[in-house]
Amino acid sequence: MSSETIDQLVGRAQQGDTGAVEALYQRYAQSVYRYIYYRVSSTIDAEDLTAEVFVKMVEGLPRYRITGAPFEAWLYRIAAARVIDHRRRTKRRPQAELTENLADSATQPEEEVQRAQEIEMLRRAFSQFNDEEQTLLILRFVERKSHQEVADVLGKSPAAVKSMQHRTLLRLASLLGSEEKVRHYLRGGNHDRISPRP
Amino acid sequence: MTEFRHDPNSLADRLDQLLPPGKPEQIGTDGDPLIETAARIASAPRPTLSPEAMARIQAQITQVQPVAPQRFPVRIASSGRLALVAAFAVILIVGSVFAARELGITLIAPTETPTATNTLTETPSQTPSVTASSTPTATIQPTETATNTPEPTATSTIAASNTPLPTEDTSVLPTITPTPTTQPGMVVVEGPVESINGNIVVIYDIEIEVDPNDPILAVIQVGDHVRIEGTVGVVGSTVVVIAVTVVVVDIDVSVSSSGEVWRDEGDCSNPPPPWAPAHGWRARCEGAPPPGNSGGMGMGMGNPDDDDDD
Repeated sequence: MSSETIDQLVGRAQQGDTGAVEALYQRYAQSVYRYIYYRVSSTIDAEDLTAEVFVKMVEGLPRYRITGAPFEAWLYRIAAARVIDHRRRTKRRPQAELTENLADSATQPEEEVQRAQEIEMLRRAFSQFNDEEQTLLILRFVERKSHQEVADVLGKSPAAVKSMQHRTLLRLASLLGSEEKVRHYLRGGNHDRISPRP
Repeated sequence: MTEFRHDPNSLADRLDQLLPPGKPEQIGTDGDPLIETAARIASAPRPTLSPEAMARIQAQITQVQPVAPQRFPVRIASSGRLALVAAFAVILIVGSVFAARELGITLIAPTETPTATNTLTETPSQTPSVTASSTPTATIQPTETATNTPEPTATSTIAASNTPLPTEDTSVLPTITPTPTTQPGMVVVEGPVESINGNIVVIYDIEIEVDPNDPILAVIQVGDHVRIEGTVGVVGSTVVVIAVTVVVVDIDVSVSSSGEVWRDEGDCSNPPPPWAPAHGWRARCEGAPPPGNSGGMGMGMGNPDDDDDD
């Protein structure tokens, strides 16, 4: 869908066209959900916050002005604000939710467990970064947005985004490297290097 | 994962090659730990909303109706709603007085007894065309309970030159529907500017969003006494005021037809442009008489810049 078409869709939604509102929701729901999912601790919270984002979108549409920046940049800014507000409200620790999400891992296929563990590891690593850095990591590498698109969302220049990307990846590489070692150790990975007992 | 080989720009370029934006594929890595870290995120599972969750959220947002665009929406903070209710009451009373004057009715100050006697002087030749209604035309439902209930206008004692027909039950308190001198539902917010954030002006904790293109924004400052008139509406769950005029009360401000603005800073260091009347500044700094005061200088003796032409 071209940018022009999105603008037309937004224009119709601003006039109260419910079909246009639904089309916008269908188009952006999954990416907004993923953005939130990686930043909060539970699937339920992510769904609830996604709903809040789109309710805010509908309420705010009359005041939205088409400025040339992508419409989704506005949605991500709403989502970022919802996540921050959610953290203020709950003040829960991400580590507590890891346990919650993996509680029934024994009943899941191994592939599912690995998938959940990978997501939780990324979530936990992301939580070590500030809001802008988390937004950059998710939009750039989960959503595969360009530097310019991320710059639009963050209100920064592409050069600033590139600099922040470099800095953030450096730190994340270090964090994930450490996590890997810890997880490997906890799961008994070191035993692989030990000769099996006779 | 051993060698860091990229600076921010080369990293960005390399990532654009290996993880092209907007495309799901990943075209390898180059051994750099930063590239591998990015690739790891890119290859992580992509959680999605289930169809049930999609439908549930869809149902939620269809409950929220988009509202047609309006100019100058003013969002009233919850702490300002009580003040708004009080402002309504004042406006209704004042409007009633104006209307009563226009209709030849004298409104006397409200009595303290709710069962006040109505003194009505009859004029049988006229059928009263004015019937009463002190009910506010705009409705505000504050979430908090208002404890300072406005004085009911229904308790007013009215002496009127046109009176109801003799068959009218005079035990019923008359109310007034004024022919408003201002539009129905008009509110006035007047007070010192507490803060200005972009096009948001705050007065008594009431956040007022002014048109970003309004030249008044370039002029008003924190502490200025400002009067804002507007009509009230409700957008979603938000009480809004559609601002009609924004006037700075306590200082001399002039706005030209082309949008230029001049503000009297209170000293003589900021002379007004020719199009600005600036009577106060000229009287203070040039010795020109204020308008209507002919003392001191006769015709043609004033400052040539005193005319009001643009």
